[in-house]
Amino acid sequence: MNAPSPALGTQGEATQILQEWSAGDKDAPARLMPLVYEELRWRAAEYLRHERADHTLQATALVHEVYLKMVDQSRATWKNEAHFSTVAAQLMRRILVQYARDHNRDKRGGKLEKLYLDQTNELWEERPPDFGALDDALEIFAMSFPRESQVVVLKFFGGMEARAIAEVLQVSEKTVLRDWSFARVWLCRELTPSHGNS
Amino acid sequence: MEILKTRAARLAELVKSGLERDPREWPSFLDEECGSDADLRAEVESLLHFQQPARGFLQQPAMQVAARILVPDREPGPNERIGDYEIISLIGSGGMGDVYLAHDPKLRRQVALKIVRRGMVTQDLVRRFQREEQILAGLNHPNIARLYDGGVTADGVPYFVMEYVDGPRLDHYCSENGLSLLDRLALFRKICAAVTYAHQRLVIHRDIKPANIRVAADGEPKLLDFGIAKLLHPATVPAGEETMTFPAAMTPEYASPEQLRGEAIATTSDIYSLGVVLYRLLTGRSPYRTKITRPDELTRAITEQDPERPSVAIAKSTTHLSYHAKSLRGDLDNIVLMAMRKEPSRRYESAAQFSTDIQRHLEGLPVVARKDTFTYRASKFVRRHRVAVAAAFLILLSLVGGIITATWEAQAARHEKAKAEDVKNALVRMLNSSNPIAFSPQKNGQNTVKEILDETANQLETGEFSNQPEIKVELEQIIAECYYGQGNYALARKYDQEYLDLHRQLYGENDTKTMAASERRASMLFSEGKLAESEKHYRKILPLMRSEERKGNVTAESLAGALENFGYLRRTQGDSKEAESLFRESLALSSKIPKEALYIIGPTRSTLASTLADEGKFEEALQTARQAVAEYRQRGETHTPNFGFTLTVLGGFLTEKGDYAEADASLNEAEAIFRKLLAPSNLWSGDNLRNQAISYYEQGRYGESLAKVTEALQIYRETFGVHYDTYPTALITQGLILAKTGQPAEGEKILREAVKLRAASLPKGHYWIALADSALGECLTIESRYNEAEPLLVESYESLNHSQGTTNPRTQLARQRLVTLYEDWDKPDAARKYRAQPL
Repeated sequence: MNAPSPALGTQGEATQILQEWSAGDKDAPARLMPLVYEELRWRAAEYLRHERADHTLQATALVHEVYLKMVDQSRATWKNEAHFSTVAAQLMRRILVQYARDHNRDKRGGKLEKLYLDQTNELWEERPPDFGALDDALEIFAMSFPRESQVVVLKFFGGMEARAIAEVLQVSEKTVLRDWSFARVWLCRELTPSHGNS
Repeated sequence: MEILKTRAARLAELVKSGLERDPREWPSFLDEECGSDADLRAEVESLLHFQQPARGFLQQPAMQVAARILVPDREPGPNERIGDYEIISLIGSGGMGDVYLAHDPKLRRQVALKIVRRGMVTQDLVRRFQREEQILAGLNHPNIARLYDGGVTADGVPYFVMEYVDGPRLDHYCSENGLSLLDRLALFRKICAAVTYAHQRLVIHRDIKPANIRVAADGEPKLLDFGIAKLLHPATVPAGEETMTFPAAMTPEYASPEQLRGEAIATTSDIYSLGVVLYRLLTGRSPYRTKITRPDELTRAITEQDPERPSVAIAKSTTHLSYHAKSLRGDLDNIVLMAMRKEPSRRYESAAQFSTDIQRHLEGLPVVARKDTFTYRASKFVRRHRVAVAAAFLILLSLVGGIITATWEAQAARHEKAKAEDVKNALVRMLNSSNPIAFSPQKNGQNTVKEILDETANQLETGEFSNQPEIKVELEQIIAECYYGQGNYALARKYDQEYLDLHRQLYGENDTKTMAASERRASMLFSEGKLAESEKHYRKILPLMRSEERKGNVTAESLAGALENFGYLRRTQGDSKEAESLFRESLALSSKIPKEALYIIGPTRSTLASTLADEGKFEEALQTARQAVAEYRQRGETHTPNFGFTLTVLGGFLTEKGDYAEADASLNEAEAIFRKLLAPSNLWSGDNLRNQAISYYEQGRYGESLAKVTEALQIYRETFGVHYDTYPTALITQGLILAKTGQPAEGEKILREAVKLRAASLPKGHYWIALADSALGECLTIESRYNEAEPLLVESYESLNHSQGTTNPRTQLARQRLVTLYEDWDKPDAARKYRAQPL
């Protein structure tokens, strides 16, 4: 027997928060986040536990599904979903960064780290970057390039497509793609040993 | 603050624009945009150079990883069952998953069980897994760890069950046991046998490295994970994107250059990795010199740096080895480096050939591997010597025909475009690897070749490949090439034309692939002597190529090569002016051409020199020819066929000038280079022989001259044929020698042939016609047929005077002949008149 979806009973609440956000409430995202986290976690687990193996976990699909479950569609606008995706992206960033930092403190090394190292090569003397390092780099990047850093959060962490990002940021799709290319070279350089500025 | 912000915005804008451009345009782009702001330029440049390393970076959304954190992998504990297998313990962990030692209760044996990490499971992976599992399970070789079974866990995660090999890694085994050189080579040859076995079944390993080779208790090496890499990293995913995408996510040391570039992989990629493994085994060192800590540096080293020779590397090794550099010097150096060549087509054709070469070395027989030369790189050369090369190709094709046919069929069955690339690579590899074994006459099986050709052509005709146009298009080209080699021009043309037509259909008229096919057709027409038709093709495609080159869709070297070929055509047609401007245009592109492709325009400056001479600018021509030689010497590229060619051209001009000592020195140097680097029947060797013959002729050394020119003519006839632009030049020398050594009738016959060839291919008034006429006039003078000689000599002198100028050595020669005529004819007044012509 599975636990019921946490979204049950929160539909009204999430919808309400999104509307307050649209109306200009700056604290709305902070209130929405814990709700989204619970639902996202539950749904991801569902996917991995019970769906057929050929059912790929698609980031955008998952977020969209969570959104549909959490928000009363009769009262929602497209802007609500865009806002919602932004929250999901930021959430994803927090989860990953927190996880990476926890495991870096752990001397035995976390499992996540192995993911990056992949088939470890004896020639690699320095540790490759992890989500913690990416987060630090992204902070620095955001100081000079705020919009570009937003693109990274939405695309990499939120799994959003360029078109959706363009809508959220109110720029053209082409601009999103150019920002994305630029951000990647900048961050890649920053994270490459002996090249980064910090 | 505001200034800083503006600067950041400017930086971002420049990098974004730069990333949209071709990297070759970056220097001019930076010049233009950054002006004298050196800091800005350095910053932009530094970021642009991360385009390659950042290629797969952050490409996969973090969600895949996040899902794993939200719901971590449940690790199977001891005694737990996966499928029918009981887990004993965790024995390894890699990027794609974990490996467990497990027990198979049915067969009562230990097995290695590899579970794919949950976050890595995709729909595509499961599909590939199911498709390939059977093929891999069919690999049954004593030196390959068997794949026993595979399945999907209750959670939907795929796993592999493999033979468990309890033993150390190959390299550790060698060093711990202090293995001798002979033992190391013997072990390595067993691995080659395993790889050969798998390759014959069309399975590529893709991840050969010492960690994947274990030596079992009985001393047998076993190759692990055959084909697994392909399951997990399909070729359709560019390198770097298949795993979490931080820069260090690869094991590049053993990866081939083409693998690192994310290109299609053929069996030759495994040959490269085998080469690196052997390098390590023999020297205890990595083949790349720099102490590399960053993936992009290693990638650059692998794709660009030449590895140090093993015999040199071993001296620096800290590993204790029981043998010395001396035992590696020569054969083993060459064998290892041949396997590790950057271009797949220039490596060993197969693991079997690699292994055989080691065996030949051990038996003291000559090996296939040679010290790397530039010979094979001269693709231009191949183009101009199509016949000889294609003949060699046919011999080679016959040797491996069986394998190739099998490969084609397998491809037809599989509908895989990447495999078409494999066919092409295999064929190109054969085309390029002339080696003593393949060329031994007793293995020449022409019948098989013809059968393969006709069979393949038949398959094309019957529509066998009609739903695989990409494969068909490759085969059209191959078949055209083969029929050409067999001298069946009609069929060659048919397939060549189909090749072009199919390109037009597949990719459209203006696509760059179609242009390349069209250029190919044009150059083939040229070599067939269909100059006007070839010209028509070039006139159509060159404007397109130019504009596509500007847009970055066609490389500068492709355009430069096409310009050079067309220039050569125009020169042969007698339009030196246009030829000159084409060559100059080609040379102007040189700054945009990467160093390794510069050989394409290597002969261009010398050919430009010859063209300047055509226009009567003899001094400028001589200077240009000297400059071409000097450029090569400065770059230190004196061991290349291209350099030999520049020497040949310079030697020709020096002869005309009368500096015979310098001319002969230049030509002898070229001869030594060609003897070392080219097949004896090479066209360029022919050119050099011809120029030597002319020099000796001018010095009155008729016997030596006749021997050289006869050899040159022989080469011309065997290779390019009588359409070759200097074939008549050689005929003239031969004819004149005969005329001067008591066989004027024979000489006259040959000279008339030269005159006829010149008149047929050149416009009226071209100086080459005048030179032939003038030579015939001299012969007639010797035969005392003054009446016939006079008009020829007068007209040719006037023609040369007009086209080349009075002081030109060629005009002077014609004038001297007139003087001789009138003196012999006993017309002193007329003789005096021409003798008195101002210098």
